[in-house]
Amino acid sequence: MKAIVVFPGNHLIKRVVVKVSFFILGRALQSASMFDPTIRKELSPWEDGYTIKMEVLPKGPVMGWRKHKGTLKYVGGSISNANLEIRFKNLTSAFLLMTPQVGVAQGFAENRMSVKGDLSHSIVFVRILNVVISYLYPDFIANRLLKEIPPLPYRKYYRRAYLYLIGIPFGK
Amino acid sequence: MLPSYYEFFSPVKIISGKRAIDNLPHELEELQAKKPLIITDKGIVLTGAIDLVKSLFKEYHREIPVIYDDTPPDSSTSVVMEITDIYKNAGCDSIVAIGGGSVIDTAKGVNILVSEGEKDLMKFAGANILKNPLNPLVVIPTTSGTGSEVTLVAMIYNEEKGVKMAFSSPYLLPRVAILDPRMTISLPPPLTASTAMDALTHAIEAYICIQKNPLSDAYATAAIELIRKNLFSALQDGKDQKARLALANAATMAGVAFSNSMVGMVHSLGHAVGGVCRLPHGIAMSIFLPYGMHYNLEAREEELARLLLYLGGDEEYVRTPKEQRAERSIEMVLEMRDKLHTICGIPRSLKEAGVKEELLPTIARYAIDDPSILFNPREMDFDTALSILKNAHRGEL
Repeated sequence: MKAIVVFPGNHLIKRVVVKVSFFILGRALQSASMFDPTIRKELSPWEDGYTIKMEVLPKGPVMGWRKHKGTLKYVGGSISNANLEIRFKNLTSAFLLMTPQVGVAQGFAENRMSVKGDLSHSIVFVRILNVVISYLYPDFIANRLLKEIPPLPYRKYYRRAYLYLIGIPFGK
Repeated sequence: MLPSYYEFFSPVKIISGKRAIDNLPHELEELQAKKPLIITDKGIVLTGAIDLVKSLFKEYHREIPVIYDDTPPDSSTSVVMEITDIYKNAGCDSIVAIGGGSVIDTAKGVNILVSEGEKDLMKFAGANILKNPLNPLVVIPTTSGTGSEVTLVAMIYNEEKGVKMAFSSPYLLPRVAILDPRMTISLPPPLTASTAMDALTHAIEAYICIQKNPLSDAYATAAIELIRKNLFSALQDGKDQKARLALANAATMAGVAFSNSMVGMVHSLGHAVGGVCRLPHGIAMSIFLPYGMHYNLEAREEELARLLLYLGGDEEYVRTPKEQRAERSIEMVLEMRDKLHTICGIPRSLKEAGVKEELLPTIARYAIDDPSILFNPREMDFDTALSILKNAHRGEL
């Protein structure tokens, strides 16, 4: 019987969805770090230039942020080694977290990601992500993803609108 | 209830029983380990355990291994570097760790460097960073608490940053763990009690944390039952080998459970108070366990209720009304702690343990950044952590 050679598929739809989700999350976190005092307080112990990378193994997508003047600046895919690297085991794992079907804590519990760097920094980053998730999604979705929705100011609906209309499209 | 997805990995060969350690030379041969480095501490040497190991090698007509017996109570990067140099200079090819959690974690750290051929341990800090199997590591625990003989975690103090760093990888798992009751027979009552409470905390937290699964649950509940049935026998008669072996098995089972299910806020608080005040880990676990159970009651009432079967026995479980079982589980742990305090003076509050109240905010800050908090069923922010610490200081639930 002849051996069959199997070429790896591209999973185009999943890849596109994850890339777009990375962009949305990247810009949302950048914007939220400018206006949310909780996020700025979490970032304050880190030095300027501190980098965070999110990567899907084995060959991307990749995206990251760099701390700059108290906020996180989204740098897209142009990031190599970072101080903190969160690596999704595979495209499926990234898709589940980005879509969002699985929360961040649950994602770690299910071993869907690995972390390179100081694990205590990863916990700070998860807290920041929790704030961004509660801005991005309405409560009935955020409740499924988070153990508890962090307390947000009464202006959260205004800030959610700001994120979707200005923060994500224009990076402000 | 079956989780929608989980992973469970426990490849460590466990050898348990009377004279189990006699198998050490054979097991090393099976692993093709020709020149092991034994890592231990001075306390273990004084018990005669190392002389016993040397006699085994003589009996097996093998060269006496290289021995490092200066491991301090807390593992640190400089100690790991020192031992790495000894390993390389002696041409060793494997490690045998004989001791408690600190010795075992040190051995795991050394194994990373010697296997990867690196000098900077911090390159491997984090979770799932190691990409290759490490050299053979055999562990012989001399306490019945940490379960490090079956876990994929090592906590090593980074002297440069002044914090304990976590290393987590399936490759850190030892190949073999040997449980021999002779190794814990000389453990004094306070250490027997505190290490057993560490094991109990591992089992209970593994049962209620978010990574729990049916396999880790089976190990956790078996561990809890063994501790309930044997801890006070071991305290009454330290030479009771059956009780000692049961506790060693409980610690190992609890280790398997939490290695696959992780731990939660009790360990977050315990690591923090250990880092800031150097409070021994087992005592910290004993103090914080009821607070962790109480705080998580809201999210894990059903699981805590089920634990009463293992904490109190079937009669206690049946006679307690269903809606009171979760609270009764917490009471059982408090009663156990009170009994341990009476028998061997184990502190029940941070104040009794000598922790200064002015350090509590610093401890809270470290606790909320501890990686284990991620797996706790409920979030714990700074104010909550501080409130729990203040209650734990006063000894009020």
